[in-house]
Order: sequence, then structure tokens, then C-alpha cells
Amino acid sequence: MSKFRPLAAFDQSGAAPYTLLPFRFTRLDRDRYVASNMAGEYAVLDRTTVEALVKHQLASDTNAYRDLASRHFLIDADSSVGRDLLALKVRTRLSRLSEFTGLHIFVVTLRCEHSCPYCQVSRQSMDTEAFDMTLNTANRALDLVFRSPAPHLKIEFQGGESLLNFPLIRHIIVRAKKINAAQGDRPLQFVIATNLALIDDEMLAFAKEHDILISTSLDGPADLHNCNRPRPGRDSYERTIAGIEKARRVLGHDRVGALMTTTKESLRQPRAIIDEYIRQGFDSIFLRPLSPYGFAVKTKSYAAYDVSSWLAFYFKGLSYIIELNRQGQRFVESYAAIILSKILTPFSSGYVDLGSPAGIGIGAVVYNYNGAVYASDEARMLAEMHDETFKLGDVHTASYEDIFLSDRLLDPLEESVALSVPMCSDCAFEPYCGADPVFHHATQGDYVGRKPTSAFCQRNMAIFRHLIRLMEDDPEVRLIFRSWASRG
Amino acid sequence: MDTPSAVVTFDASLFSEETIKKAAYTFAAAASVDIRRSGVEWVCAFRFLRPMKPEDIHETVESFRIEVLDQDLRERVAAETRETRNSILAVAFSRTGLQRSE
Repeated sequence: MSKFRPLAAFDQSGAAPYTLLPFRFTRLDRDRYVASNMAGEYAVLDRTTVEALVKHQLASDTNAYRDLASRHFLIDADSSVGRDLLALKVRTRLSRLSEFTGLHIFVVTLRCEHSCPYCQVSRQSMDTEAFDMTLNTANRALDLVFRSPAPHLKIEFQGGESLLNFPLIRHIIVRAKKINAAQGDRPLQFVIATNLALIDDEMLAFAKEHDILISTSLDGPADLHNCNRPRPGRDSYERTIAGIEKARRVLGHDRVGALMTTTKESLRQPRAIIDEYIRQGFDSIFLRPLSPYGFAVKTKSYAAYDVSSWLAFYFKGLSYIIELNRQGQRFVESYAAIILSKILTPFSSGYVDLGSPAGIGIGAVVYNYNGAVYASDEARMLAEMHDETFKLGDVHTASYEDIFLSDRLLDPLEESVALSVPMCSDCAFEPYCGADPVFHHATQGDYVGRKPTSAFCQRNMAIFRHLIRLMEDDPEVRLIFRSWASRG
Repeated sequence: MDTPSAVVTFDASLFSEETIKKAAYTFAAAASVDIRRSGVEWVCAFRFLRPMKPEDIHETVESFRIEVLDQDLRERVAAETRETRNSILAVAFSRTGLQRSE
């Protein structure tokens, strides 16, 4: 037998024998396609290249061939290890699934002193203590939290206005730390979601002692914020800003985060909203649309703008933020950062809305003030609209197994996995996207939804395309996005 | 007013039923598509859900033709990579503890 391969084996001029690895492709724009493999690595190709690749006609001496081999779209005699590497990357991407529920949300009260028309949780008036979580309910919920096998636990307090039931927050934190210490001290983090209007020195001292993060709401400049978030005295903005400053002084600058919600009034002022965040010393903003739950539906706030209006707002805001980065101002749009981390790194962010399998129950779970357990924050918002589809049980009567093996959780999880959903299963953006059965149930009446008419699909497909186009067309944007991806 | 319509045909020896159905589904936001086999052809009758200009109808029909070609390629990729895909998923889940023998 010859020691050497025949000359023909070194002929790189024609199509080489190669094997395809699993990949999907979707139109990016008129002339280009995005192809992605199972680990989410992507390539932008013209149609001729896609066709040549699939028909085994791609010449091995082309850049496209080398690029696709290095990104595990094909393997040949020189790159057969690609299959194993791809499997490892897919495993890394899915590893979060085995960690199970890390985020546990306690709705300590539904009471709130604000009366925001877009409220998605259907808050109750100040004097109705029937909407406060009791000590007994909190203790039962805590027992469930510590049954979770998650290596890291995060307990988040929400409302209404969570600080209206501060004594219970104090009790839960002290008790959680005690249980955790007895169990071997897993990393345990606490977040209080609050409008900050009621925060005082005693609360801040407690937050400092227990290393608590604060998450507040800031919708933009004073006029917009106060219009969106009415309260007695019409001083929501002033109280929020004062609260942010006060909390930062005690807890540290980076211990206070803020979230905004887009209303119809927000749509014409993305720059002013972003400028407000910069003025207040934040280094990121999460440009969020309204969700179809609670008062947002009742007051028609949700229906006040459509997907394309929100996308126009989002793209204008993103463009402005990119411009700021070009000028040396480091500032991040958080939703883009979450998506970019999925596109540009092998890691999964754990962001519940962009999980497939969906993040409901297995990424986050909600213990409502009355003891009801819901599969996500959106699920409890839906329940306040008298739709209990995603109620998994009650802390007083259900065991951990009853709740997490409930058909009410497993059915939507199983049915909505994007890998096997019509359209999603062929979509190149599937590795970056999510299933969101709660949204699809709320808007289309089933867990899967009809993707051609799904607002979730329209919004996210447009964002994926936009982000990839920006990266492909401008190397400087690609560098900026790479730095964002590490924060997603 | 009648909603606009259009008819597109494909050689049934070149394209599978699955391919035609998948392509039609992606257009569900714009039109309902009635698919029939007529001899050696697939006949796809579009009924658009909203009034459209003739040039927009033409563009949609052309997009549909390309989508059918794309779906055909996707079908080939799926068939060729099915085993690899399953083995990669098996490796990916092998240490998660999510699969346990009874």
C-alpha cells in the first residue's frame, strides 16, 4: 500500500466530499440568508452558496467552505472532530436546564400607592391588607424555594409596591439565610423591586446589612414618567430619583438598577428616555414593550401601539445608543445584550422569555400573596385577569413534586419547545429565540401559537435580523456588540 | 369587495407535499392557501386576507416560489443530518440528569 494519498486527494479545485452537520437557514434580507447551527453559531450567505452547500457542490478552496467548516456546518476528512465540538457546544448551551429553578419571586403584596394605567399586575388600593402575603404563606413558600436543586438561588420581592409589606420582606430574608446556612450555603441573592417612593433609612440599613439589590422603575424624563406613573402628589419621578440617590449612597452605585416600560407617549422620545438614564448614572437601559396582561389590557394601554410602532421606537433607541458607544460612552441596551450573548457566545442567558424549553417554572417561579404558585410573573398577571391556566398549585396544599411535575407546567413546556414547533423548527433564529407559552396562550389561545401572526415572533425576528445586519455591515458595531454580549 | 387571489403551480415530481405545506404556512399572515394535487402539479391557490396592489401580489407570489425552493433545501438538510442531530442532542443531555433509566 502506498505511503501517500493519491494526487487527486490534494486537488482542492473542485467540490470536496463533505458531510453536512445540522443547520437551518432563514432570509436575512433580499439577497442574503442567515444560517445557524445547533450551537447558535451563524454565517451570512448568499442563496447560491446555500444551494451549493446543501447540494454538496461547495468547492473546498473557497472562503465560504473554510468558514462553514470552522463553524461546524460541515465536516470533511480534515475536520471530522467538528461533530464532537458541536456536541460539546450544544451541551454547554443547554447546561442551564439541569440547574432548574433559580429565580423565586415573592409577591409580598398587591397594594400600591401608584395608579399606573399600564400596570400589568392589577394592583390593589392601599387599604386592602387582604392582598398582603402572610407569614405562614411566606414560610411555606420558603420551604419550596429550598427544595430547588439550583446551584444559585435568587429571591425577588415584587408587588404591588413590595415595600408596603416590608416587615414580611425582612422576615423572609432572615429566615432564608438561616435555612440556606443549614443546607450548606448556596449563593443566595435578594432583589427588591420597588418604585422607591416609600424607602426609608431603616429599610436601606437592612438592605445594606443583607447585600440586597434594588430594582426600580424609571420610564424616562419627569414629564413622561409622571404621566405614565400617577400617584398622589404627582411626584413619582421626584421620589424615584431621590430614592435612587439615597439607595446608591447607602448600598453602592451598582446595587440599584432600573427598568422602563414603553407607553404610547414614550414612542416619540427614545433619545430623551436614554438621556435620562445616562443623566441618572445608569450604564444600560432595557427598552421593554408592554405585555398583554392586567390593567395594560383593561385600560387599552397594550393596544395603544402595534409591533411595528414599537420596533421603530426600539431601532431608533438602539441606533442612538450605538452612536453614543462610537463616541466613547459605554452604554448598553439590555435586550440586545441578552440576544447578542446567545448569538456570539456558547452560553445561555437564562432570560425567561427567550428560553426554549420555556423558562416558566424551570427558570423562575412565582409565589403569589395568597399562596398560589404560578409558572412565571406573566402567569400571575394573567391570573389577576381570572385566567388560572398556569397556576401550578398552592403553597398550603401542594408538595414540591405536585407543583413541578404538574401537567399545568409540563404540558406547556413540552408542547412549546421551539425545536419542534411549525416554522420555529426551520428558523435560523431558533437558537436565540424562546417559546413563551404564556404570551401565546394570552394572545392566541394556545401554548404554541401561530407563528406567522404572532407578535412575539414578529418582534423578535425583526430584532434578530436587525442586530445581525448591523454587525455584518459595520465592523465597529460588531466590536461594540461583542462587548455587550459579555454582559448579556 | 373581493379579496385578491393568485394561483401558483409546482412540478409534483420535484417538490414534496411537506415542502409545499411548510412554505404555505409561512405566508399565513398574508393569505390563506388552498393546496391541491392536479395530475403532475401542485396547485396553490392564494386568497389574500387584505386588499393588495398587483405589484405586491406579484412580489408575494415570487417570495412564495423562493420559499418553496428554500423548504426543499431544508428538507434535504434535515434528511441528511437527522442521525447526527439526534446523536448531538443525546450528548448534550447526557450529563444533565434529565434522562434517567427507570
